[in-house]
Amino acid sequence: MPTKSNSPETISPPTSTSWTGLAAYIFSFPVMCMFLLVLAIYGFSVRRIAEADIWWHLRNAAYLFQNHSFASVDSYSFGAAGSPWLDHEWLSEIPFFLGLKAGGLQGMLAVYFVALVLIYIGVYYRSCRAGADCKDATVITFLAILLGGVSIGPRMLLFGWLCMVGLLLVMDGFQRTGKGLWLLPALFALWINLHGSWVFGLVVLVMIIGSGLVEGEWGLVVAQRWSTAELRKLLLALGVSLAALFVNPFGYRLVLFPLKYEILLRRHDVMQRIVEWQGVDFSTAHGKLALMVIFGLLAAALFSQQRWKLDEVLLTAFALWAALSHLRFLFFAGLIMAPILAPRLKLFPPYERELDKPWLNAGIMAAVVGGMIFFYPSAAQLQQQVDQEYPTAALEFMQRQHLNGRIFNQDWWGGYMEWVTPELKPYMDGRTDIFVENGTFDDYINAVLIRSPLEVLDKYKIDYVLLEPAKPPAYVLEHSPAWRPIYTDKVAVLFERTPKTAAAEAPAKVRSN
Amino acid sequence: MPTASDSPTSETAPLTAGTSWIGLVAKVFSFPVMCMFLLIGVIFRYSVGGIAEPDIWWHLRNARNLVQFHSFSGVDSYSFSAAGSPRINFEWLSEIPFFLGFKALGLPGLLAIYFAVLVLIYVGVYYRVWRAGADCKDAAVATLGAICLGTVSMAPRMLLFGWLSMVGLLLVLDRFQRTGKGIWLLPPLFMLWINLHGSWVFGMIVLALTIASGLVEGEWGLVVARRWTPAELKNLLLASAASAVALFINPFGYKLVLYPFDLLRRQQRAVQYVEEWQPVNFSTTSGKLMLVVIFALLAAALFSRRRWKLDEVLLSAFALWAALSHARFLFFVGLILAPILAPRLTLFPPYERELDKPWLNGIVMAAVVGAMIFFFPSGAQLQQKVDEEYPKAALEFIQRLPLKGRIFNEYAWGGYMEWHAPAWKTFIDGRADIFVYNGVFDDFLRATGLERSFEILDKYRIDYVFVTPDEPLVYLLRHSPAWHLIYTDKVAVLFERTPGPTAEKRE
Repeated sequence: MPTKSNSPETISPPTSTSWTGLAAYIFSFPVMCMFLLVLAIYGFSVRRIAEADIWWHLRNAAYLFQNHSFASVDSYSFGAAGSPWLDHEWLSEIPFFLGLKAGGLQGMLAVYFVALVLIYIGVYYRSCRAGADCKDATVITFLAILLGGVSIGPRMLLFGWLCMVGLLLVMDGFQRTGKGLWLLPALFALWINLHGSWVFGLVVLVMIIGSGLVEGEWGLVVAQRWSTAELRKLLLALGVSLAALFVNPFGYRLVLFPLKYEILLRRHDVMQRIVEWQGVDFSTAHGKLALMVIFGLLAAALFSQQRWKLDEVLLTAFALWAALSHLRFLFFAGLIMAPILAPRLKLFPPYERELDKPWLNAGIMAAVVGGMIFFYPSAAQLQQQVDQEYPTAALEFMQRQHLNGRIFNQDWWGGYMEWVTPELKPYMDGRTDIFVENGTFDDYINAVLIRSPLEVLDKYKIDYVLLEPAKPPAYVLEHSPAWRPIYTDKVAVLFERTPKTAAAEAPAKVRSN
Repeated sequence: MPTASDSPTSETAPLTAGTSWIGLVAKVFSFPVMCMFLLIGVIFRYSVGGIAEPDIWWHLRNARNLVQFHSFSGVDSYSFSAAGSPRINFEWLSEIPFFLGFKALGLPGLLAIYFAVLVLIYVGVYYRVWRAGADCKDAAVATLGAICLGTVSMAPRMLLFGWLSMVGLLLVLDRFQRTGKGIWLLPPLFMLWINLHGSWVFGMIVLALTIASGLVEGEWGLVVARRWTPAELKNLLLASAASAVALFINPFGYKLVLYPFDLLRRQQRAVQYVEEWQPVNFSTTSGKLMLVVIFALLAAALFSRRRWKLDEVLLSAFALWAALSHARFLFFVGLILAPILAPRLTLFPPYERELDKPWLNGIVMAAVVGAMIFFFPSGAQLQQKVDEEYPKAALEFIQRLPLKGRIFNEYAWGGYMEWHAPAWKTFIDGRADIFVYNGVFDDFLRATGLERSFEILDKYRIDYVFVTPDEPLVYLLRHSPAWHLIYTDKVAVLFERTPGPTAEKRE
């Protein structure tokens, strides 16, 4: 397997140890490009605070800090109350919770912004190391950021992708120098406690190892075999990494969780119901980006004479398949493909260090940092974003009125309700697994797709229904004598079951028709 | 541009001079021809399942009017919601063979027409793949891939005549690139095409891309471009200009030429609603097939040393974009990519004519033809397929009573009702254009999407709602005192407005 350095001129460390040399390095054009990328990440991050699942994750972390133990059954909802459940992303929840505790929504924003910055600095660095000019690397990393837009927000998944970048950096280092593999077991031990995407890490690792088991040339593709020593190290690292997966509070159950989750989702056709699990839709902005990626890949293969290593081909194919099949993996495709495409798409003349102007770069970098500090959103601004998507006012109304009873809610509001008004148990939240397992999810679908909404509400003895206004379920309830709206605003409409006598008579009257 | 022959050097090139009967028999019953018969068997298999096409019915009615009155109706007379709206019969020429087939043999005649068109299309594709240098077995596999992609439109559809014209265009361009001849066929082809289907626009794009790819010369990675000679370029430009003029030879003049652009500009709402206009969905079978195509393209670029001509790159990119953006163009991507991919993906050892067994090929071919005749569905069998998707029994119920009033119908049933119960004026049918222009299409979407449904039914003073049982609207009407169910079966439900109460449920 090739161990030659791909290190380009653009990213090499300073040769001089003087302060001037260090300053020229720090304020170089490539570093300035990196700051521009950070600014782009910032631009996306500040608008994405209102993530549906963060709220129940925060509640998990709060529970952990309060009780110093993991909740093993659901106590947040009434739809799955008492169902066994596993806090499979417990370690990722902690930084978000601490961020929120320390700085409110601003603190939470800071946590995922930092995670994103680390991820994309890693991508940019890998693109440069793969031989791309810093300007090409910037453009391609920017494209990766756009692809990642699908998951930018306070999401646990970000820590998984951060680990992925770590894995790719370790493997790059090993391919260049033959060193650093000892980091893998530690990485996987951390990863499994952060997020289930460690499975993708294992697939990537196996593909890289597998691509060095053959040697040959096929068209533009080339493969070189690992040396015996390299292969031994790789297999050892893989074996120890597998063992390291069991270093978690839930043992084998956490290792099996992604498999169980996948089977559950497929069996109940849940993936077709959750947007980010659906295939790419080419009529959306993300779809058009995916189209660009496909054409970029074809252009790189047809118009560039640069050879493709077999591991690059395998990883590209895997990332492309994953991203086209499930929207959420566009993020992953960006991480994998940017360093593969960047050296092949030569969009700009090469960077020349001699022409660099450190003072100008420093000015731009200072402006970027200053701009981010100056425009950092206030807690009120972030709360406003949240309030535009969640039924804050409706929940306040319920609290004010001391409404008590079973609430059927829009699924993505469940977590928010559990965090903001823990005394109001929602029907369901974004922890899909437990609701799929006990049938609550299917009933939810039957209700919102108007297969049998009134029957579902009766089955669960629902007292209140909290929905988006002007949507089909709300329209049905508006025209049902068994329900009446008691609160409405731009975000939500709250229905209350009409008093028993009327409700009991009304359906019978309707049925007689 | 290369005029050197791209014809394969392989043993598959069969059509050499032998004038003897034995030579002719060996050629007719050769392995490549047998492969073609197997492909026809596959096309037959897919064709039978596609008879229940929603739009064919109003197309048949158009053709019947034309044959009866020898003129085109300039306004709608099939629906009540767009009655009197001006419209043009933009696929009039494609409707005629379907109508004649139906008139002669009923549904089997309809099937025979589109099966024959499909056979012509894919025989053309197979021939082009083989001429591009692929072994006949690789050509058969690639054409099979194209057929599978084409299943999205395998039905009595006017579009098929458009794709047949596309294959004709590609054959003409292939021949011109090989021999420098035959380009004079383009103007009559485009004249025919515009009267058959709006896909002539794609033909113009393909022609423009082919011409443009010969305006530059160079090599970039695997891609190579060679410039047209001045004589070639002159011929091409002349043929293109004459083709552009030929587009105006149609009964509607410039209006028919502008129609496809109107579709893009004014009918976006319909385009978004109709499934085949939506982007490829990778969770479906055709979506997975498209994934295979993307990977095959990448593999062909990475693993094959064969050079790509610039026109191949441009056409691949255009077809890929079209197919990923709109599922209906999966058919088109198959036509374009099969001859480009097949020579690069060498899946089988080359065909050797010496090892061929004409008697065995003959038996297989006879078996294919025999099976198609034997299994050709009867009129009753085809009618049964139609009845599974259309509200035949419900319509009979409506006519038996008889009911009177305005009916709000399922989008896909409008044409069927217009053909089978012309006395009933529909709310909407598959001719999306006139319903988009006057807002009926939007109202239809709102009503079925439970957005002010009652208000819309009131607005059009609807007396009956006639939709599939799984529509959310059905649930709403079932639970409304303003409507009551008067008919239901597996295919359809029919609601009647209850005299007296308004749409509002509240006391």
